[in-house]
Amino acid sequence: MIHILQYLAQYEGIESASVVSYDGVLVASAVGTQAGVQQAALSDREAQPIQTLAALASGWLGEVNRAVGPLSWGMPYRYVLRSTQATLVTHVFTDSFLLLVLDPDVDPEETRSLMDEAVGQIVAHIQAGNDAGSGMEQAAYAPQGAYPTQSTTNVGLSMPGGPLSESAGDS
Amino acid sequence: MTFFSNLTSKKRIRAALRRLSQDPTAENYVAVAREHVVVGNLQDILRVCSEGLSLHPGNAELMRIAERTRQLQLDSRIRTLRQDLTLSPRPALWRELCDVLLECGRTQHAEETAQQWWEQAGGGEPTYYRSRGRCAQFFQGRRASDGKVAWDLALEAVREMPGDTRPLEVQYEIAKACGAWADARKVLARILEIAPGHPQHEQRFRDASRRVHGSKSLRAALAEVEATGRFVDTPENAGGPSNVAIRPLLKRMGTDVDVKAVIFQRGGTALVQGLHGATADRTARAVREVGAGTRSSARRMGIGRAIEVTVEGSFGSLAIAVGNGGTAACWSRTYMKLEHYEALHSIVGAGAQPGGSVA
Repeated sequence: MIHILQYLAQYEGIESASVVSYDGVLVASAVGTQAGVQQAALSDREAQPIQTLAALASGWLGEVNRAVGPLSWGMPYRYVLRSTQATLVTHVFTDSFLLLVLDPDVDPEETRSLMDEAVGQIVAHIQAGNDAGSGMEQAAYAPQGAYPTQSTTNVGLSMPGGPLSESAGDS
Repeated sequence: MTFFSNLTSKKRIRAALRRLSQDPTAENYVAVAREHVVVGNLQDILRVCSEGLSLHPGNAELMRIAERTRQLQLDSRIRTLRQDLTLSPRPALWRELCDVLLECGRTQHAEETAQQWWEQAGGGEPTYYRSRGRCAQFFQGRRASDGKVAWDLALEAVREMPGDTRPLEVQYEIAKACGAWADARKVLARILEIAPGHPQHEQRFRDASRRVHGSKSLRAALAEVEATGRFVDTPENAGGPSNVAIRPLLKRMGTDVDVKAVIFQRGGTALVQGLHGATADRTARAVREVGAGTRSSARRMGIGRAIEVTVEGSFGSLAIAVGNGGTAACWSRTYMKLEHYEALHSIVGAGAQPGGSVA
């Protein structure tokens, strides 16, 4: 996934590319070379940490969805916010969104096909990961044979009152 | 432009002028201005717009054409100045370039240009222009850090140009905008030392002295501006064209087959074109909430003042222009067209538009 984001971030005018989950957690990100140069030139400007920006962008998407929700329009999939110092473009896919921070002089329309392609690749990557993961899960939860070939090893201290399950503290 | 197209354009201009002489309405002035746009005579466009605006003040379309033309003139001047600077860099050219960039609203470019000037030649004048560029960014984005940097740069310029009041005036503008009256009074006292007896500065000094009790420190005042997004003396709903001038623009946008609805909202009033009854109320409320939420989110994210939001989905696309004069939105069945963006920005009077599709 990081390669896909790095590929996006190398385009001129793209300051950063990130994948963020709906709850605002930054999954992966890549910073463009142009942004690095600009921040060096205006070093007094406070650089917004990408994690903070991801969380705030997620909050903004939530606000827009709550406002548009009563209109029964269905879930939007692309959001663009243009401001005086940057442009945010987000493209929503399963439980996450791709977030690009652009230079304010860049037309967000120019990123449309790039983002569509990147989202397609990320979704394919996630699906491939899920398929591999489900295969491993199947192996992990496969029923044991009647005669196990390997005995389980007991690690850690034994509890005085017998074995303690992990959920015991919650009950 | 070929000879034939030039000839036909002149014919069309003459016909538009004839219609204008028979009926000098705002629409006919707009028609003449548009014909001049085809030919590309910037001076003629400005002359027609100026004449039209003197008869029909506040007409949004004429104002938009005039503003765009002025922008084109300034762009051309910027190109010339940049070329001249590569050949023979000198203070007068740097100064003019910074002034033009500030006038265009390209505040970051103005600051970067002043920085280049400062790196080449040093001195107080480039520092003053850096402070002006950053001050303009503070007024656009309302970020406390921009205000503080502009203040410090102006202070540096004051040290380098002790007999010049201009950097002090930058400091005064910042202090006055955020309500740091004690700092404003100190700055005005220094201005009056340099230019004693200046009636405007004396009046400002008396005004600041009246308001100095209980005023905040500069840091606290700047932080409050960033938190609220409002300057001290800014009224709630300032500026913008009247609703009477906006209605024809909404109607014109609504005639497009792709457009489902056009909404303008300011304060508690909403004008809706294309929807009726409860649906119109609900949509206007949603637009207002998106506008308000976006304004505060953009400030929190530190990306300056929000200008425009576009949301796309199975419903089509909804573009919302956010400006000082209210919020204007267009709901379209397909992708939003460039002219719709331009119309929305002309309605809300969003002064500083970044380049790209809106310019």
